[in-house]
Amino acid sequence: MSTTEEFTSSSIDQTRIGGQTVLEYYAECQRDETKAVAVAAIETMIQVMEKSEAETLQGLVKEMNDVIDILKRTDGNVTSIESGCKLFIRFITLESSVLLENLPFNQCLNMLIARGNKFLGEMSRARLKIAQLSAQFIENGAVVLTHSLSKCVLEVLKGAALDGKRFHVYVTQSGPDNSGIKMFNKLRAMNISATQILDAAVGYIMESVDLVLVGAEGVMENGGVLNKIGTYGIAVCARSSNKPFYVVAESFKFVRLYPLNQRDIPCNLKYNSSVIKENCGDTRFEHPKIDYTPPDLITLLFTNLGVLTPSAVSDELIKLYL
Amino acid sequence: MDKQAIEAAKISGHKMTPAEKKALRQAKKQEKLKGSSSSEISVQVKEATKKLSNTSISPQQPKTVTDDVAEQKPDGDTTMTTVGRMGEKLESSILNTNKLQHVETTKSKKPQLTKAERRALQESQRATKTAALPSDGKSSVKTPINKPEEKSIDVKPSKDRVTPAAGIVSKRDSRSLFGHLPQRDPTLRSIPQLLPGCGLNLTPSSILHPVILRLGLQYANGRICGSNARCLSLMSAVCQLIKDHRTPPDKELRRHLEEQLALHMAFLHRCRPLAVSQRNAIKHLKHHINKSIPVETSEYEAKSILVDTIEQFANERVHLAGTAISQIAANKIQNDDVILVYGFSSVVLKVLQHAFNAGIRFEVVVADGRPKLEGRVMLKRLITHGVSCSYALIGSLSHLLMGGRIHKVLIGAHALLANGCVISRCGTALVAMVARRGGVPVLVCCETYKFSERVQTDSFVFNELGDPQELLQHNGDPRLAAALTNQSSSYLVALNLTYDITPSEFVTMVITELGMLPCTSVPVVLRVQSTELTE
Repeated sequence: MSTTEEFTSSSIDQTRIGGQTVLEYYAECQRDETKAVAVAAIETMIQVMEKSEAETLQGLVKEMNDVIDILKRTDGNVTSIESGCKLFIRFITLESSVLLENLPFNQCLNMLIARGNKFLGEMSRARLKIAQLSAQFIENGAVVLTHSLSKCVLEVLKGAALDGKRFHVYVTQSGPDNSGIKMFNKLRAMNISATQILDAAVGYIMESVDLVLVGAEGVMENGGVLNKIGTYGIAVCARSSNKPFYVVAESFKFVRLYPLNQRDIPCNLKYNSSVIKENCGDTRFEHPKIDYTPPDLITLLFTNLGVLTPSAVSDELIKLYL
Repeated sequence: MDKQAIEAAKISGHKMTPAEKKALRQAKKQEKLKGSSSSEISVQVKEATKKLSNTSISPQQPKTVTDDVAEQKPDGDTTMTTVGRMGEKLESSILNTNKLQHVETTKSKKPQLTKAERRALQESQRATKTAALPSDGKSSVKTPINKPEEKSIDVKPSKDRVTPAAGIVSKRDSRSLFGHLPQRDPTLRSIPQLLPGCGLNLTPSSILHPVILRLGLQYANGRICGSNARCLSLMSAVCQLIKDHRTPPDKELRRHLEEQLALHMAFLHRCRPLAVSQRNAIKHLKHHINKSIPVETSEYEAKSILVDTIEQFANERVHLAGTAISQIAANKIQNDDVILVYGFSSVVLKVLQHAFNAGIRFEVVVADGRPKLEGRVMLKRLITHGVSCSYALIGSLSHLLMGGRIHKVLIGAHALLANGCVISRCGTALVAMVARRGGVPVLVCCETYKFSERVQTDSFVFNELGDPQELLQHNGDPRLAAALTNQSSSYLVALNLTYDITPSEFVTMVITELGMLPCTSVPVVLRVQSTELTE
């Protein structure tokens, strides 16, 4: 079925049939591996908006929430999809309601799409901004420890290398999917001196490193972060050895979650959705993908909104949402 | 005559020598002084009110230090001076009100005094005061009254700000370490005893609204206890006050209402120091008195606007906020949780009841502490609702919290400070500290109207002292009873602190009607609220 045919059918069918093409489109966006997962999701959502047949703003928002639900069912970085898309909806509907009331909906839709593209543009540039901000924290001769594969951290290290700084990176292997090996290969390809270490060797190596730099899948309301399993252990080790622990995250990863402890992380974020489906909700014997690092273990967060302390994250979130 | 002379001189171009000008000015003054016949009476009124406030502060019988100092409350002092000046205005308002009893007054209505005259009067009164100081060891000026052998230092209070008594402390007397804290005198239980401290020289029921009088007694006797309860009762009483308020014809509604409000608040503060929640509510009301009433509205309309404002505040910021908090908090309570609570908190009770009604299976451990033993009330309410509970005293906290059996701690708050610290019932800090040590998350449930811009780092800077007798149980032993009750001669100081400060690092999360926030976000919320107010 062609795309135009699908989107002219009724709204209920659209979600079901549109769901197929939504996922396909999303997969296409993700083919560019340097793109953030959330950016791909937002591109998909803009596509949905352009093809949308909704008559009212509420209808449009409902459609987009349906799309978010579909995208969350993929196996991937679900946290940043949810946070990025929710922020996207918030950003575009923050338009003055007076304007929206007076214009016919088509024009409103065009305005919203224009805002959406603006948001997308800002988000795509977020990583470059972060790299510029964080460059000053990596000094010449520094030894950096990082965990798993993070595109943000790669960008930061690339920026520092281009600046002409000489530093060394220790990368953990980061099981069970060994994404740390990919990180190591990418660093070597950029001619950055790196060493691969086991996850278990973090305690051993901590005294030799100067700083720890990790990415984040989601930044919580209190400034804590969700990241690949193992991050919490590294943070505790860093605190105990008095090494600074820096987190690099774009602002679209800020999410209105507030876990109390590891148990409190929502299940759909900890495990792949396919795994949850297989076990029909019983996840006691499954291994979680992510863990929660509380804010008191984090020194600073490097974001495109600036260099923030964990307590400033709540301030930014309140500004965004209230 | 003088004005004309000066103008004539100006016109004629004749330059007046400074001596001539001085003579003219003095002549002017003499005229004015002769002209007003009631100036002496006004002096009498002022001296009478000052004398009464003097006598109320200087106690005749020996009391403990804390009791002496307790009568000199900061707010009370400002109202004493303002009330003294307001004495004239109040009298005229009494004559015009229908509901209140008419009080016979021998003083006639006085014309306005000039600024110079008032200044002259104040100088003369100050002179008489300083003259009286050596003979009368206790002056109306703020000093802590230590043992009579010690010299009392004359500290002049600045115009409208009363400096606290800190700094004038005897090294020998350790009781004065807590002398700066306000304390209720437990012997003050009736209205005639409570009134004199406000500096009012009128019969009890003539000037204060009976609803406020009743409320003050209920506070003093501890019948109404708890941040929300006190605030809500205050709001309904103030509503009644506003409804019954009658502005005298020559006064403006807003000013007069504010004066009345200040008067009644001073009385309530005397009965029991005002809570942060009450202060914020009154601040909100005062803001609306100034902002929400256009100048041209009729009295009836203005009063109905104010009553609506108060009811909206009570409804939104207290009741609905509590409902919102219970819905948000219920998301954090999972099946098979064991939750620890301390003492009694209306918000925490609401949360637990809501979670129970939503069908979540959980158990509650109620921790309790003397002397108030409020946990028993909490226990009773929870059990009648159907929640399965246990009861423990505060001494067994480490056993409870370190064993991994408790999953969460839920506490209420009296107020939240700008540095993220929580003011709550004495004992809460202990619970939070041990919970932190045991890795148990601590959740504070607090409405945003209890947020305060104050910053406090420890529990001694500002607190409330309760009745020391509550702490001392003698269990029927006559010698012990005698020793404990005769406090002034013994070396025993019973310190009954009402509140304590929980530092922000012990608190995992604050649940407000705006959502779940970290403790450090309190100033953000305050900032957002203050920008909303100024809009």
